[in-house]
Amino acid sequence: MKSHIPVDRRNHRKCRRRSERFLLLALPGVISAIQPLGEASPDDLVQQTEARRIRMIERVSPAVVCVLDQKLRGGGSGVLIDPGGYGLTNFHVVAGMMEGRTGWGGLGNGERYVMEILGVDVTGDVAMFRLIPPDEDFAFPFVPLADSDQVRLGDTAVAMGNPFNISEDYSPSISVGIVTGTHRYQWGVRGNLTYTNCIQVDAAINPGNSGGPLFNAQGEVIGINGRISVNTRGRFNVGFGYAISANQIRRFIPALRAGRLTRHGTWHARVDALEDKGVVFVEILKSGPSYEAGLRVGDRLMALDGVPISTANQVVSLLGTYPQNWPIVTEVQRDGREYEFVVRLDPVEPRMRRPVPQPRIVNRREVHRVFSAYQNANDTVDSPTTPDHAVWYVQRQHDDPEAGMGNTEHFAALWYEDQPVRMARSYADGSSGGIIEYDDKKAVQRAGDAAEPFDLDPEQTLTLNALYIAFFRWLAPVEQLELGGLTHIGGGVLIPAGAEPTKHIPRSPSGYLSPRTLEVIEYELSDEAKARFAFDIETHELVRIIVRDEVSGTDVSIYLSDYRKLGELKRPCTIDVYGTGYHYRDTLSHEAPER
Amino acid sequence: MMRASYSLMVLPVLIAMTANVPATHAQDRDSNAGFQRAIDSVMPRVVKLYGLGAGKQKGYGTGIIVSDDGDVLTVFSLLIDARHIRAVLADGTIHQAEVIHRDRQRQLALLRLTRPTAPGTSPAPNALDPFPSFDLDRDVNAAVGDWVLAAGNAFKVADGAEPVSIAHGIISTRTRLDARRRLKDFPYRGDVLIFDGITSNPGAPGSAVVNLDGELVGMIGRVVTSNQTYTHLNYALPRDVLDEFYLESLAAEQGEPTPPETTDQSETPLDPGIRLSRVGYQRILPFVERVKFGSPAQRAGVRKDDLILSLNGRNIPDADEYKRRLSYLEPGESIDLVVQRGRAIVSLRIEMDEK
Amino acid sequence: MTHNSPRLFIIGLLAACAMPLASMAEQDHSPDQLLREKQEMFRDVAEKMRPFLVRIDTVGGSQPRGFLSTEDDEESPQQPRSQNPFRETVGSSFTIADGATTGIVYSPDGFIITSSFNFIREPVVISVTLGDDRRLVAKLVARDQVRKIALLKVDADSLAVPEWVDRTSVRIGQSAVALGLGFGGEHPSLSVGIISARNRMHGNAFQTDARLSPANYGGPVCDLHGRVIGIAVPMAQRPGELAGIDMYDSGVGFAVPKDRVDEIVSVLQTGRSFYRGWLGIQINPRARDAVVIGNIADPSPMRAAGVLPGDKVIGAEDREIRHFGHLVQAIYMIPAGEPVYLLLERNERQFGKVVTLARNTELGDLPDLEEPFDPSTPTPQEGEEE
Repeated sequence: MKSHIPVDRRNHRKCRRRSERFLLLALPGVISAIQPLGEASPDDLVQQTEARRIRMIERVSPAVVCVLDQKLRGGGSGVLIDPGGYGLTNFHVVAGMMEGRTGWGGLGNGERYVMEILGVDVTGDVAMFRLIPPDEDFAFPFVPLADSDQVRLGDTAVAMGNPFNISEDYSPSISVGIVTGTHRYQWGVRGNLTYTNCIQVDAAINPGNSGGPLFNAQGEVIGINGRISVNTRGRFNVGFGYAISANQIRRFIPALRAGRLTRHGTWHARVDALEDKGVVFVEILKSGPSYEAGLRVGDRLMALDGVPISTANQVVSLLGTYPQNWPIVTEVQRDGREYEFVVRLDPVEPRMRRPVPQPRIVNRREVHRVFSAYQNANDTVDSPTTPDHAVWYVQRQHDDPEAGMGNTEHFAALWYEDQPVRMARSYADGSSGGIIEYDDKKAVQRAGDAAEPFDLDPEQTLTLNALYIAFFRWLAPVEQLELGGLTHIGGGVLIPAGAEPTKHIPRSPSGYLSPRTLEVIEYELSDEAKARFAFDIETHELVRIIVRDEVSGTDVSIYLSDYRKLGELKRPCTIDVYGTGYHYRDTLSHEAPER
Repeated sequence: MMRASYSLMVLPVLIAMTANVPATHAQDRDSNAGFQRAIDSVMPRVVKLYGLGAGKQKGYGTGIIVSDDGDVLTVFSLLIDARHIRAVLADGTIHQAEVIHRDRQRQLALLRLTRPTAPGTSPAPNALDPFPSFDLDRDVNAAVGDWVLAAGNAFKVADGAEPVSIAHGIISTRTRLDARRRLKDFPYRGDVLIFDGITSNPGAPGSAVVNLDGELVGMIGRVVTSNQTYTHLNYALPRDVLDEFYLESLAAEQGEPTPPETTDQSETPLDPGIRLSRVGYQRILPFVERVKFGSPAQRAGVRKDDLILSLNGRNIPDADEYKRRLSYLEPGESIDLVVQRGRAIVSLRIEMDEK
Repeated sequence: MTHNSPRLFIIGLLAACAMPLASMAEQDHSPDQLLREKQEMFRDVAEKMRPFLVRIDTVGGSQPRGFLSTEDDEESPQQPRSQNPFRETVGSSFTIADGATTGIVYSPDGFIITSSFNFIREPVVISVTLGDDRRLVAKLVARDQVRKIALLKVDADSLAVPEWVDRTSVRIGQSAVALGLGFGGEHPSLSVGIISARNRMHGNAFQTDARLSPANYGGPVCDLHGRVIGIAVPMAQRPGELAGIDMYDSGVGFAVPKDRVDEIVSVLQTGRSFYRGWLGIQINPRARDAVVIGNIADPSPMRAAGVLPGDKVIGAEDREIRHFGHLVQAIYMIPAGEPVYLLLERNERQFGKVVTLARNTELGDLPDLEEPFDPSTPTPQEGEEE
């Protein structure tokens, strides 16, 4: 039997009703859902999708950056993720600009802004920059980062950037494709520019697209395009582009934003897939963090940071997405029993021909801009200034519940010379922030004399809010927080003075006490559920919050590095916690709930 | 000093948890571009192949499973000359593959997966289950403009059980292949499907191309350059050609004589009775110098000084190309000639003598 | 497959339509329905456009080798090629095929618009096969080697012409379908994508991610209604007929829209071709942070304008010039015979010049520089502004 593929399409045309086509494209902004007969024409679906795609592109493309060096030669692309001008690109795009750490960023509005290069991730090929706004009130267009773990094979992917530097007006080129692979691993160059757990797409990505965003259909950034595979033709798109995942980048953002040379982590151990034994540790360096945490050769690796492990490649790929010091929850099986160890990754030094110039710390201008970004028509700004320090105080009335907490915020920052040393924030609903001291030791020491503890209204009911923590963590790594009446228990978490939380340092199952592990503070949520706050014992950074269901014994972990999830808090709202065998509901109102 | 502070801290956590309820994302219809059915169908039915490689010929490729007992179609390349061909299935299991049949003319090969797995690999728990496969013995529509999805081992991006790479595009046209591979003409000159967006990359030859319903419409062929455009061609051998080859291979295995391969090169070209001008520098324009009396060309009305523009739809830029085109003709095949005569363009059909 | 939640439409304006709309909103569809609808539309576009497409066959001519031969027709044979620096190198290893190419009917009286790419080989004979299978000898009226457009004329009348899209109504992100006859056969080949950008190549082209190649250069890039958005041409931000061809099928392709075609065609119809414009200068390669003129051909447009070696080019048209690439980008789309505004600097003083670009065949040799140019030597100032 032979099968035939008739190609004459006329034989295979589907009979379909062709109603009048609505010339949507000629009439922007009108959705073509209006049909005189009230019956859906097949074209409507196409037209609506067209309209949606056009609108999405209109919305997000202003945040796409043309990255140029000091002499205005095109280097690549970038994307803004914050109204203050903070953006992401590839390290290899700005590698040639590291000496002066400046360049230019062109936006689709045709304007060019001075670009400062902040932190770089050489190993992961990511760099953060900021565009300097023309004036204080200027807010840059920006786009949100997506949860890239949700990306699936076949999803729509939209790449934007400046291929071949053909843009003369800095407007980006848009290309549409689909996700053609997930969790890909692309070898790097001498240990650098390694793309681990990356996203593969067939949207056209060409030289010059490097550093540009890859969007999902909703216009959220799922990754940063940085590499392509090419064939013998030359360096042109052949349908194989790779993007660094947004979730990997997010873990590095605090350090990138603080202007640091970031380092990836290693656990100094090797796993291999053995016949019938699964993925097993075959080598562990005795002086390395895995051994310290309690892992031993022969342990079978079950899950890494909550991801079930089935191949050795998967482990290599996943580990490449974490920064140094990151505590990785490692679930293993040993002698038929399950154990959990927390391995704090050792740094991997990126290999560089020339050292990257000293990273800078957050400066006055940055905080200023953060403040301006939060200002709007309802904000009132007060800035009493003394010779030694300046205090900025911003009161912000939210009328747009989408924009924030849905109520009044107070910001305050204290500067010493050019360094912001303390910062506070409170909300009229009673939640508030504390005072932050930045990680520049010199600045803090000097500030120690001059700066008074910065008091918010002492009568005010003060509550800490996770959004706030995330906000500070994003701005710079938190080292110390204090606020009247509250005790800082580390990581930016404040608890009422005198509160006695259960506090313990977990021991590993072997009985070996790791000096590099987490300190856990438990808080009872209900009779059946407990929240545990896990802090890094060394840095006192709040690393994650675990909610444990006592009935089923299951844990759900939330990492605070994921500032965006925490930022999604809107009130009032109802929260449902589904555990095995129980359902817990709580309502979060404007008022602090009585407990 | 207040007590409420603690509890509020917990609440954002809960929000974050609820955001992870899977339903939220699944409801989002924009995300998936609509190829899900095609992906689900094609993924388990392609295998990654590893064999012999040398220089630019990569030692990896792709195959398509076309029977539930493990027959695999792929392209005729250096890869299959390996002593051991490894085939990695979608679930990561490794099989050895042996070459059952090869066809130089169509540049196709039939492999068969051997049941005992290659040494040093874990046998699949379902080792006796039938292989997921495409059934070639069915009619499948493939119209110009149809969306297609290719899946294969291009660039060796995926390792082990990792899913192979996909690529999407549409069927751009269906045409006869007229191409070369490096300096030599590509032997297959039959129909191919051309795509707009699926590139023949290293490792891609042998990839399955499916339509939106996940039905096989073709297989990516070897990397070639089009003689018509001098660009790399994005193409696939259509399903009917694959089926024809598969049936022939099975028949050959049963000991039936294979139809003789059409070897163009050795035979003397057919002569319609036209002698071309030899005047020219570098490139000799195909002007007719003489028409043999009583020849098919004369009967068809070819005249002296006609400039031959095309032969059977193919452009004839010079005398060499004219000879080359004649050599592709089958005995008895008629010739459609377009000539320029003065300012006019004339179409002629030359009916060749039988035998 | 039908678990998708009903699509919700925003119904702001027409309350009266609420009922029928509501019923429509309930409509469900499978996830790939959109794709199925779209492929029907692609086919409709091809069918609708087919009568306006012409196949172009060429005979004769040869592959340009090393140097581009197209501007050599007026060149004196005595001048060895290697000694003239003002020559366009091909700059690409791409081989130009001689297969069929595509064009579209521009006017009912037999003008065909296509890409100049299709005639780089300088063919002896050009024939055009119309949509109704009539095959006619065509005359190459003129071409624009800058915008890569060519105009053909055949003896025919009452030809049907396609509908064009007004460029202002084209939106970034809308679907685009490119059609071509480069693979032969009666039916055009299809290539689909979106409009990637507008105002590329000094506003001369839309950019699309539909794969464009010799298989469809000269053919139309259409919207989903079968209207022409532009003519597919190879382009890059550098001069040269072959520039941009190396990008074929890369997802970066260009289409010249109607208004640009119209303004070119009105000139081409008079038989005048556009050629690449030259300034006739050599840049001092040692000056790294500025574009400093090293030498000037005699005669040349720059010499005629009184520009001297050692002058710095700091602006061209409305663009800032910081390195040689900027200067190339500023003028690569300006043909010979057209004026260019240059902002120059001499002895820390800025002055503007309007320079009329010339064809390379009009340029003289570079004079020998007897002594290294000393920028401190005072040079006479002309009465130019600033």
